[in-house]
Amino acid sequence: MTPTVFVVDDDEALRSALVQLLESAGFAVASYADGLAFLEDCVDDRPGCVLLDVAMPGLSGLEVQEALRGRGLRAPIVFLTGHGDIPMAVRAVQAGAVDFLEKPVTGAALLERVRRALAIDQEQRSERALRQEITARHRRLSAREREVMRLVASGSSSKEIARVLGISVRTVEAHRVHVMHKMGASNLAELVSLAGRCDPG
Amino acid sequence: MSEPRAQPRRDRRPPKAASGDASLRELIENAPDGVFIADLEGRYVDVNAAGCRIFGHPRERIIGRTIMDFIPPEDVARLFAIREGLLRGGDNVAEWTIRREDGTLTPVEVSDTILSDGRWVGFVRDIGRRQELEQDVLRGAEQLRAERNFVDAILDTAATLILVLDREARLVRFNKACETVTGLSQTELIGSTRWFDLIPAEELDGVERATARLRGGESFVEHVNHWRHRDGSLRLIRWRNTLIKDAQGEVSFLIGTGIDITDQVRAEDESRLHLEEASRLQRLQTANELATMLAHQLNQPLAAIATYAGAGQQLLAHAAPDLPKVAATLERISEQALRAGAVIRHLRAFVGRGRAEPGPMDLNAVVQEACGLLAPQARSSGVSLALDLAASLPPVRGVDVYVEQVLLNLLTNAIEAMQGDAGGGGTVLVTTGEIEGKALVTVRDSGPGIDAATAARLFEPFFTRKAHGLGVGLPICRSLIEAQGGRLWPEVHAPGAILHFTLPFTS
Repeated sequence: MTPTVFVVDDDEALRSALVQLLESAGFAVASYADGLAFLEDCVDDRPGCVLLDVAMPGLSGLEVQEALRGRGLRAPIVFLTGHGDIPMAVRAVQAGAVDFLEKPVTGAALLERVRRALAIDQEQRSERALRQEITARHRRLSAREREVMRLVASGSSSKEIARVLGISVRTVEAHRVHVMHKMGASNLAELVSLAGRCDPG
Repeated sequence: MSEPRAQPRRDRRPPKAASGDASLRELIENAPDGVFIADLEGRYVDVNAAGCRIFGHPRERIIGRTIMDFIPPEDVARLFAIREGLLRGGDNVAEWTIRREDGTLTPVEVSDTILSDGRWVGFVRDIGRRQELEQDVLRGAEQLRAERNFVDAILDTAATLILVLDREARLVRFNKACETVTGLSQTELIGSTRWFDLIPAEELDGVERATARLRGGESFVEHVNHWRHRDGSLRLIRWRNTLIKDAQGEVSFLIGTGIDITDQVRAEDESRLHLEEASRLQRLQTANELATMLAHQLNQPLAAIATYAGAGQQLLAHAAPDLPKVAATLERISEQALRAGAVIRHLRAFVGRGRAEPGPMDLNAVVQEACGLLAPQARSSGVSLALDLAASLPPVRGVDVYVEQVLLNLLTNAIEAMQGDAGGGGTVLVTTGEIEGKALVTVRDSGPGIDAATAARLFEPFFTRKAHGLGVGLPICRSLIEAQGGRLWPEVHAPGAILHFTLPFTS
């Protein structure tokens, strides 16, 4: 699915300029004159990013950001700010926006930021997919195996694990082999990394 | 001299005719003065008709009696002294008081002489009338003096300068107020034209022109000129001059009444400067608020320009560029540049420093400009700005920057009044029209309105209903409008505040 750049700006001239720029650079674009129209349209988790004006009548950019997060939508947001809105932009970034651009901005810089935001979206999406996969594999481990994996990931040696769990070192070693295999880890470092990306529960 | 009632007596012969020719006798009988003839004892032997009339006694009651019977006792000694003198020769003229038959006293002047034959002749003239006249003259002089004192007191008490000149422009009167203003006394200048030296040389022409207009027939002429005080300082005097002409229509005096307006003009200058300064400060403050707004407004077209330029570059980067599309993009860029220019023009017109001179102005255009300036703010506040402008409004006289400032204030107030409402929104309606021969601008909003208590306090300095704000807006607005000859007032109305202001037409 090709990513979409969602443009939300109340200024008609700037909005159509953004659309033309993005389209001529080959992006799929959807544009909205205010936050409400955008939120009504954007109900699913489509890949893409959002170019969002901070100061708009009706819902402000920050309110739109909050509403998106409230719906669990994680599309990266690039805020467009006037030069008086820096404090607002800082708050937006603290709230998770990937970037902010102070108007006016050159077409090249804007495209560069949009590409980066889309790359972030791409990355976030594959990361999310990966976590889902890891979590699924983790669920397939037995209770004892999960316990061995937790202790291995936290840096304990087989001997220590055997003592803690009250089983033989040989048995611990056997569990470790199963865990490595089921989780798809080829070495200890990989296993530690996978353990950090397991969603709890 | 002869009285009608004396007429019958004229024919009557005196009882004891003197010797001599009849015509002389008649002459004496008809003489206007009284003629008395007495013996050396003072006993009357003859008297003419006028004598009887003066004494107020019939002839028969006079003849045979003596002078002493008719004069007060205290004069008897004087009479004897005079008689002594007369006996030595010569004559005497003296005033006496005669007791008439009815008891009244009458003053007479008597010229006495004793003839060689021993007859004592007295010519008596009634001087009652003369004394009355003399007293009238004295009283008149006294009255004149009193009136002159009275007029002097008025002239010298008046704070008004009063200057009287004769037809040769010589000083006749220079009242106390004139003395105070110049530090010179009337005695130093009276009778001369040296008072001209009080006027600065460059203003003499103006004074001459004013006088010429008076002589040309205007009943009074007003003009303003300076007078130099003895200490060198200048005072500004507003004169109102008039001429006094004699019965022949010739100019006899020029009267000038003047008011020292130095302090008044200075105070007016200061208050105007103060208002200008207050207005400038307020414009700066408003400009500060506008600056943020305008920076945003300016950023929009600039951002659009940069973005269109980027789009154009993208188009040209293609192997076969879509040139019509590039041209359209350039067209967009130029539109947005003009849009940015308009924003800057608005701001510059608004904060433009310099003495704002009143002149003819198109009120509708100023209203449109102010609304144009605030349209983006209204839009981002969700407020709709509506105009209802009079179709043919004659030009008004005023300072457009001030009027725009007042409008921005009223409009900002209106927009902010409605932001207090839950949900925002609302409408601001600006109308122009005419009332009582003046142009009328009305700004009404759909906010909470103005109750009587608020209306009464609306123009107090630092009174504000806004959460933030200095509250200096409306009092200055009103001063600005009044300085231009208009009026600004709120209407007690709720919901929806209504403010009106007027400005005079140019004609």
